[in-house]
Amino acid sequence: MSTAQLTAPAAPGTSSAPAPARRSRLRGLAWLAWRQNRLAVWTLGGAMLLVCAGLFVLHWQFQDVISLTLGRCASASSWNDPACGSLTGDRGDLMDLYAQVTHKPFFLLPALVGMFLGAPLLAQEHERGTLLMIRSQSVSPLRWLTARLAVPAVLVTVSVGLFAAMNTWLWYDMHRLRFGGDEVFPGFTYATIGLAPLAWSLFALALGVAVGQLVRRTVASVLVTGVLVLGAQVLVQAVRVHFVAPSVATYAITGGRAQHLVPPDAWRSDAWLVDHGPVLADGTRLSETDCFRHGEACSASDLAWGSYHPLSHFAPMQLVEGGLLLAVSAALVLLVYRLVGRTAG
Amino acid sequence: MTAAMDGPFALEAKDLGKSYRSGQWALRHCDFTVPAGRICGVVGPNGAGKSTLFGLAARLFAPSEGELRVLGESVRTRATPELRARVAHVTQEKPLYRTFTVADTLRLGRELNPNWDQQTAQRVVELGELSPTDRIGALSGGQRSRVALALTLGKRAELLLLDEPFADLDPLARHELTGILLARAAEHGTTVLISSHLVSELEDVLDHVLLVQSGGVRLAGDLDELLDAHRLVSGLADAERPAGQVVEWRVTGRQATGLIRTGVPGAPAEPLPARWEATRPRLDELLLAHLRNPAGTASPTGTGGQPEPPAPGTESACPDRPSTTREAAA
Repeated sequence: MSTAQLTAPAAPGTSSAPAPARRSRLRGLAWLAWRQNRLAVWTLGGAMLLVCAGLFVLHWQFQDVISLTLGRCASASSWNDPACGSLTGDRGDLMDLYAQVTHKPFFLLPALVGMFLGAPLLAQEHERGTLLMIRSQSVSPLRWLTARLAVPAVLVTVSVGLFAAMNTWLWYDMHRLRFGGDEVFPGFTYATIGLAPLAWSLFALALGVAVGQLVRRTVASVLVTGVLVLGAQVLVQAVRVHFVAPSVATYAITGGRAQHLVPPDAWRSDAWLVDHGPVLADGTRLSETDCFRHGEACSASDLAWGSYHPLSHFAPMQLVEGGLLLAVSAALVLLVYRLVGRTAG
Repeated sequence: MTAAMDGPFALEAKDLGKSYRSGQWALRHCDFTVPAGRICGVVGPNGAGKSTLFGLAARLFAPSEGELRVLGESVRTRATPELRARVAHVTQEKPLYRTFTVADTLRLGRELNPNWDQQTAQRVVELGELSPTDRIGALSGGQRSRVALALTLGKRAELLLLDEPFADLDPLARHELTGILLARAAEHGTTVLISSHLVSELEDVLDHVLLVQSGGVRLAGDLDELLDAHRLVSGLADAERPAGQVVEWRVTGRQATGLIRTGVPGAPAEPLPARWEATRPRLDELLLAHLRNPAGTASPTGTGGQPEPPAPGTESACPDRPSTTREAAA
């Protein structure tokens, strides 16, 4: 049978030939990019959709509580209203669960994106030599790279962006309800609402791709990317306070305890207290810890000061941070293009 | 066949060199041509520089020195998609996406190559009894080679660079795929470069040879002309040595055997003295004799040798390794 087919000048492509081709209408590089990212789209996209659906249900569950809290039950006269007695009820446990368990781990989302979407993207192509196979096709390697990067970038933008929007919405619910775990600035909440999840995820993706291109080993670049993303998060956490100049408030007091007191504005649960202490008679501001050396002066002071970031600094701070991250990401992508293009001919 | 020598060249190297690290040359001082439409065997020991030569021709990297023209275009010029469509390359490792199915892989070829020949690609795959839904990662090495070859043949390129294409295929598959390859090449006038260890199997297939050794091209030329220009001789050791350049000379007791280059390629070999029994060497005999004597180590006591200038384009000079021809002729 084989010899007959071998010599036949035009063996007609039988039934099996065109069947698998009809599944997708994509053409050229778009098809390849889709085929290579299919699994990531289904897993990450699917997981994020599930999370967003959960968040939406949570949000929807609390609508009546919010309307009661802000409406009928807002005034003091509502204290006798039985409907205002227990507003959240057992739904409070649900919110607790969200705040304690579901909300916090999402600061790890960028690291996961970098490790499992970014790092293997080029590392695997290098490790398995498939970049050589791509170079043997009739397309420019840089155009291939563009398609290869565009699909995960769009995937991350859409899925993480949707998650960030949903989570911010829910956070706003909690904020209006003055629910526990409402502290925005320190720790985890900052990383999971607003622009932060998206900017960090795109940064981690670009970093992972660049690490993969440089290290060229899948497992090694996954680990390196994870360490680098978490390291960057710790680093930025430390310098974030300087992205926007803090507000300063003073508070007149009596009794010489200025070193321990903080202006009420700076003490709000949604504000980030940066520094505080007594103001001396000559106008010098001492930090609380300086009072170990200037005990006398501190107790003589009758004015406390505090520098802090009010909630209104949240958006500018995230914009500065997001801008920095996206600039670094752009530089990393440019580096990858140069490295891939250098040998591409 | 000889007319092809004047035609356009598929490959044209002038003082070509490539070093991956400074001071270490994978390939150096290589001058050779391969006329278009040839089936050219690239033979040589492991690590000789064959894959480097293929990589240069496929524009995977740029030459460190010298010039290489592929289908008339210098490899230093920027590769356009049109240029890429004219050359197909399959590396020794035959990389494919492991998560793709066979059908996906062929579709990749179709989507990324304008001249895609689905029928040929399909036939190569179907002859191996591979199902389109098989995953590449689940295939054996030989089956993967077959799919890689299908991807390469389907591209319908003018120049095929096949680096050890048949290494892990069984003899039946090798025969079958060689048949398809030759039929396609003959039909479209494709130039094919095949590197292989299996020299004897390729003798019927090849019509051109590049012998690569230690980073240089030792021998390049039309197969028939090369074989015609050499003679395997045997006779009494004390007899006067026949005219020609000694490639290899062995004396066992009173009996001497050797491979002698009796003429320039293209010119008929001069008749040898009657006391020498002379036969035309086979391809593997010719290549092995050259490979065994990398620096012209044949006995320098030859008497009948007369200096002959190497024919242009057929003998490579690698100055850091004195060529056999010159030393043996001295």
